[in-house]
Amino acid sequence: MTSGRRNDESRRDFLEQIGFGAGAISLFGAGFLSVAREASAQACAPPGSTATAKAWRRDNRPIRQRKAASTLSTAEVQKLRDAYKAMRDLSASDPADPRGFAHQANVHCWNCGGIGSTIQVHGSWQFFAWHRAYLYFHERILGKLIGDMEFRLPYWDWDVPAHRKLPPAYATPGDASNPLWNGTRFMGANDEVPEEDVGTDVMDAVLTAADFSDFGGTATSSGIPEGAPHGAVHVDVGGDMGAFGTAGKDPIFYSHHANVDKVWSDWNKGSSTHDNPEASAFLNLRFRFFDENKVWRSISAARVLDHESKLRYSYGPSIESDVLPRLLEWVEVQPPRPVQRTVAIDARLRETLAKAATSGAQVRIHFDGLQVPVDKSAVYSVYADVREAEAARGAQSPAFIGVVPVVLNDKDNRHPTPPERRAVFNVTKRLAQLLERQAPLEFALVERGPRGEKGRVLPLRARAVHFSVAQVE
Amino acid sequence: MLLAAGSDPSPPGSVQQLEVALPPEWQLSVHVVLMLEDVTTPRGIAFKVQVSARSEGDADVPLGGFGVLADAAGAEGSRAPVSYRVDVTRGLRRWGERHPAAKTVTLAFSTLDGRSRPIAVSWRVGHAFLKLRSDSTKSAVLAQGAALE
Repeated sequence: MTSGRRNDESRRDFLEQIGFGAGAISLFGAGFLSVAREASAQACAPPGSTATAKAWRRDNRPIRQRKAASTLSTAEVQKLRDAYKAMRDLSASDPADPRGFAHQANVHCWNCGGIGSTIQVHGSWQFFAWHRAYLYFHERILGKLIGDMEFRLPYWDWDVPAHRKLPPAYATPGDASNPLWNGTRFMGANDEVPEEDVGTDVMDAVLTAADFSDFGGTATSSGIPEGAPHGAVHVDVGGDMGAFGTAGKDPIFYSHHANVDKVWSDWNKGSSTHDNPEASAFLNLRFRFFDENKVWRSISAARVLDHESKLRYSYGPSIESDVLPRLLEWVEVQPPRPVQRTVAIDARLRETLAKAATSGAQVRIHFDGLQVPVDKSAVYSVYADVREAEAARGAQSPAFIGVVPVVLNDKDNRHPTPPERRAVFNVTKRLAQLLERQAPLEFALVERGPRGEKGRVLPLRARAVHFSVAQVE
Repeated sequence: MLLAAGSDPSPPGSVQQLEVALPPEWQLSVHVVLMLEDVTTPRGIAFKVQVSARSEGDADVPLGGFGVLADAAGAEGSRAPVSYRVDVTRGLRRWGERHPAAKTVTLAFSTLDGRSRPIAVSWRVGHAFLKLRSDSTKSAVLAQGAALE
């Protein structure tokens, strides 16, 4: 199904499917089916041209890094503000100029099913490629307006826990004097994107998606990250950001999507199996935008896949890079076995792990059915040596493995917390010290109180434990 | 053919449920992905969907979720059906530790606003199933058309 068909024909299909006009009983409530599309859809003038678009050829600019918005220097924030002020001013001084801010916002509206448009770039494999191209030309226009073609958009790295608030430059001052501010946002300067929308579980799932259909979707379906974190952050910010038709009116949109773009880049780097689609139907998708010189351009999906060499921007290291090295595959090197406190490392396993440690691979230890006390909320440190557990030196200890938090569902324990956990720890950096021991590893848990004080020392019990090795490219 | 429906907006705080079959040996899969197809949502409301595994007598176990953009604030009518994928691997494993013999799982769907407060939304799912992603060729289609209740 092509994008041009999606809105009209698939909508028609949908109406037919539910029996609209065919005598079938609708399962919707009254009013939900009032398809008053023409009366209520977002009005956005086509940002394009009837002229034939000129194919985008080559970008010879130096490669420059897109930086995290929260880490910009004062001068870089000022440059960003100058660029958006110039873009907003252009909308006021020459409303017909396609480089003005209102027109730039309309580009998103138009390509997302605005009135009269047959294009919808969401909900399919167009999502990542189209937005990358959109930001690319948007970035070039901003650069042109401030006379600096080395300008690069910043990204809002909401996947970093310390950066879950709106980047300060976009939130303060919170008035029209700040070209990066938008008064419709529901999210205030001190609000944070919640953990469940962008936290470790979400990001691990996204960055380990098995193939592009799971990551970026197919011709007719979306991938995992389009719903979360992407969609969830749109809803969290709210206001203009909450709707396709208006999202481009909020400057944070471009910073948000730069991070979505970075996630795509990180996913590609995460494994040699994380490939983009090779189908010509994908590679030959063509997207159209005005460039910084008001020339109507066409760029293919194939041309945006390598952002460094073709689009001349890079990203800084990912916080996931330690967690997700360039994996070829995870190899389980020991079958699960019942664990009562100790784990013997036989000669074969020792050899395998030692080889992994010297080859630069990542080694993890997995505990299935790890038993934790659930009488109160606490953090339990895991040690591979009982004496080290007694000493409770935390990360200073060579036998320290990691921590297992236990948070009760409610203080009265009306909704009991499961006493078993599945825990995985990366032990690559401690592997050599662990292997020095000839005796079996003796695992123990050490309770840590709310102020870091040492509590109970408990023998570790689990239903199974195994190691895995990440083969690194 | 649409087999499931959320009719009038559910009151804020209410949760819709459907039951899907668990693929054989799902615990051994690298990924378990919840596929929601033919998802129809209103055009005028941005909201989030939070999916949890539900068992009688236990607290819900969060599995994941997704955000749904509006076309335009206040727009009437519904959007053309789309599909969503949610990786539910970690949450489902946590739930599975307490229900190792389960053949099905009840999924509870909550609708939330941008501040993660429950809101009333009319939306519906045509097909729901769990897909195993141990490798790119292994998948299982189960429980097509499970009903939201």
